[in-house]
Amino acid sequence: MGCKQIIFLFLILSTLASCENYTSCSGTVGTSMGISFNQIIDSTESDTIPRSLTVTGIGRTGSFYARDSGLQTIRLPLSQIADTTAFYIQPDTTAQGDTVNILYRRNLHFVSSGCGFATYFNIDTIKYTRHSIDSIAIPVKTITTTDAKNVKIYYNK
Amino acid sequence: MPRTLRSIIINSIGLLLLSVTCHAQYRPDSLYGGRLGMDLSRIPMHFLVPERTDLELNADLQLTDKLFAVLEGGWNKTVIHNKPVFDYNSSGYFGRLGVDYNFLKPAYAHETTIVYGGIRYGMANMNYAIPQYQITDSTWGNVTGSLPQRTVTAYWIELVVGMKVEVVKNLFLGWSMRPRILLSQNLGTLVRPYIIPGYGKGVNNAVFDFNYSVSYKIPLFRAKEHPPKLKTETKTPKDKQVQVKKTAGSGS
Repeated sequence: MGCKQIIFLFLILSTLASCENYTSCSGTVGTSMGISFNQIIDSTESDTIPRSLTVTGIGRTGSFYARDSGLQTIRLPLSQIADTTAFYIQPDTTAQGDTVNILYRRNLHFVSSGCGFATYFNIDTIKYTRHSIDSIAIPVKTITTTDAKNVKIYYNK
Repeated sequence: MPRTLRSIIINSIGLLLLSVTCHAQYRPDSLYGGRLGMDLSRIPMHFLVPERTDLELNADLQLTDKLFAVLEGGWNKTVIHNKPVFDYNSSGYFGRLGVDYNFLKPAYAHETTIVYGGIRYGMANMNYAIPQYQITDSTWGNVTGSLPQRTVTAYWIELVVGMKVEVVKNLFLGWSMRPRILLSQNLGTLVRPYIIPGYGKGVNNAVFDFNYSVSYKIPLFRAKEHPPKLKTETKTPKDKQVQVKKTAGSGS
């Protein structure tokens, strides 16, 4: 084999090998549930922005949002080691908060050897108190690595 | 790197290789027979991609001036350690059966250089397992687990374009470009095998590969030679006149 041919062979293999990185992660593994806040006034749906939003995870110390304002949509992580995750959501400091319990099925999803696995979720049902919340809809039941708005929370007028 | 750019680079280098190997000599005294060979590209591949260890052997048998029956086979072992995220190991064997057709019009009966196109049907049988994986979750807690060993059989079809040149007596060097299409779709519901022996990345339904092989021809029988018919020279009237004059001169 000539010297030129050896160089060409290594060039080709280097090109092929450069596309084969088994330990670096260039994908997305983080999954979270998208929630939007809405109101229905005179049969017309409209967005609403909680004045001072507080969200905590039940069974977890600390809060995801603490008296945040100006948020029409939020994203919350679901537990990947249980089939249910509960949150306490208070839209305003003066309003009574609600407990929202999400029941779901977990699906292990392979991303790549570098990124490993991600957990996808399929929401079965949502149980909630009705202190401030009027109703909850689940327009997108599957939670993946996309930024979908999975849940709509409708507040009382 | 985008797939198209990668393909362009590979094809360009392939054409350069074609021009280099075209300088090799022809050996008109060769015998027909079978070739046994090995894919050399798998050796440096292991050093460039240490996770993969491959061995690929090939054999062909010349059926006619144009047609070759081809059998290829080999082994792959893939071990990926990416702790704590993902560990993977697999091993298995593969075989490919097909034919090559020589596009090069032979200048004489024993011309050995071939520029060919071919088709292969491939099959691999392999085991793979994920001894451990972890999904990091600082909010609710990490997920850890493992997936037990599975045995799968994969089938694919591939097209081959390449050339083989006899560089010294009975020793051939050759390269080939190989697009492959995976026929098996039910390889795993959760995780498909990462590397399918003889195919490549199992997560892709179509892959592209490049082989560079060395092979030795075992002469089995001598090909029938059909020497070109010699043209009989027809003498022109002028030649005849010169001949007559010469004959006449010699007689005086």
